[in-house]
Amino acid sequence: MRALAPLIFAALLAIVAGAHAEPLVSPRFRLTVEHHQGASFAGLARDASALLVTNLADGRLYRREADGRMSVFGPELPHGQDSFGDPAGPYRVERAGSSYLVAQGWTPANQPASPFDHALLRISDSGAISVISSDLWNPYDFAISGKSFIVVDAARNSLERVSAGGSRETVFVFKRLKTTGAALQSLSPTEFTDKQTIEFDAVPTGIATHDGRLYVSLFGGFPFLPGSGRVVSLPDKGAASTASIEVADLNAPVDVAFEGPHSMLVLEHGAFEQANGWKPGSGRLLSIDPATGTREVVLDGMTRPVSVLVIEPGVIVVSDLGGNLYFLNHR
Amino acid sequence: MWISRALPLVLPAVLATKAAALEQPIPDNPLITIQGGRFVYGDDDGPQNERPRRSVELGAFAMNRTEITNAQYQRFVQATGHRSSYYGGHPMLGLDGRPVVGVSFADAEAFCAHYGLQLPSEEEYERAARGTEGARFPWGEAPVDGSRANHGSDVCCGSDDSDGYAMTAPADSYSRGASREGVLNLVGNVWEWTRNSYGDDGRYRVLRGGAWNSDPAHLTTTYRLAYDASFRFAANGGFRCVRSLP
Repeated sequence: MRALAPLIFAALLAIVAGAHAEPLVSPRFRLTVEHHQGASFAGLARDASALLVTNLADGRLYRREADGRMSVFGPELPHGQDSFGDPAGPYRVERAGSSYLVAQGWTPANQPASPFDHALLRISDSGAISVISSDLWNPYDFAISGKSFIVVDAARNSLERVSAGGSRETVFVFKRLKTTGAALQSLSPTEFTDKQTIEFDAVPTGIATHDGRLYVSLFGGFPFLPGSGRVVSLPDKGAASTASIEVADLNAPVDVAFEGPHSMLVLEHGAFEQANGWKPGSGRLLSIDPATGTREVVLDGMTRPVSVLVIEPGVIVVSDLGGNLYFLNHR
Repeated sequence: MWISRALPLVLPAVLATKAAALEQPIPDNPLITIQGGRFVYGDDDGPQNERPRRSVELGAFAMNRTEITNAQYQRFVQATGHRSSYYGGHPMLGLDGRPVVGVSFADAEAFCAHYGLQLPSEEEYERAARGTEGARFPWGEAPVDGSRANHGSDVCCGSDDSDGYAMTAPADSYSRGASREGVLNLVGNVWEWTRNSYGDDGRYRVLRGGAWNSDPAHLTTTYRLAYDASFRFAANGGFRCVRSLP
């Protein structure tokens, strides 16, 4: 099998920095952008009227009150760059009763391993950390399912059910996706032909629960071909032998959320350029009607967005690695 | 008349080149002299773009003994402000003595130019790798094995650690696979950018020599791998430099 013949690539996420044009917003929404210098925002969650957000730049958790005040809470968690220069650290946070749950990424490059690496963590109100499970490779997101957690493992390319006691069970492994070599012919005229089959990883990223099902965004792995991403679904209980394709032809979807039954929000990380990496300003938030497949671009022109959250009816929040929080209010 | 006017211009250039050949612009990666003359180029048994096997005249040149390493590339980055290699921070690929990978053609070209060198031509690569008689490999006719080259699995394009390394090997390893002149890893370890275009528009450049994940079909001295010159995400693409000699 000529998986990626013969130059191969170990990239997960490439580095892109740089200026970009102002985001474009659908006329249905009013956009407010908050920029926090030096921050690299990732996971978003709601905590009563407040917004919780993880910051990969300093490994801290932040609470943004409804009036806009930001405050840091909890301990400093391992953070830094991974071996490809992308930020690693606390990817996601959720309020769970009297504590917080955090999906903590793998060990940053050139740093000693920490017991909190690649783990699902519980953080008490006083800031004490306990490890629910570190038997994960790259926990990128999670959903609470009864007394257990469905963890997206973006290195195993699987969903893992983790009990409150820490036991782990693989729920589903996403098979590699296929395309024809024609998609890569522009990269190399000697190595790729339209008669070849090229495989690439189906890397799960975001997860959402909706109407008795788990919805997972699949970030098509390297070489991040345009349109290779998908959103799939599977039952949130019991075993599933296959995942249903809900949406295809997506550019590196990194998160999924629902705003009512007729609006699946899909966050596209962006378009990948083989020469330069992630194209600045190519991240988009789409609203898709699952029943009809109708798509609307809600917000365009972001650079490397990471997470989307419906924080209250009519208000959507998006984070990006450049320290921006985008607030979208329905008009 | 025309010749006499040209001589003053040419002569200093020749002298300068000769003197410079004695220099070692990258002290820990010496230039090895390869004698000029006729040599066998191409292959009648491989892909169409390698054919025909023929005799070619080539001037003398000097080539880095090893592929350019991460440490050497990092010195260039620090001296010039050029962007780092894509895998410079990788815990395995980014080790100091390993060949630098994750560089575009332009990155490689800029490195060589900084030291008054250039990327090899395909002819220079083949002459260095095959000698004058068109040997199959730098060490002769014996097939590739794990003591001579860092190679991949038998079926493209997986890693194989039976040669001691799952990915790149130190640039000065595999002395048993050295060429007659003592150049190392001309086959295996990392593909090496050459300065030759593939096609007419310059979009693609040719890489030679195969890499740590190459199967036998790609791990030859004649295989021509054409890739988008701007591509910098290959974990198995590096380079070395040459200087023409009078």
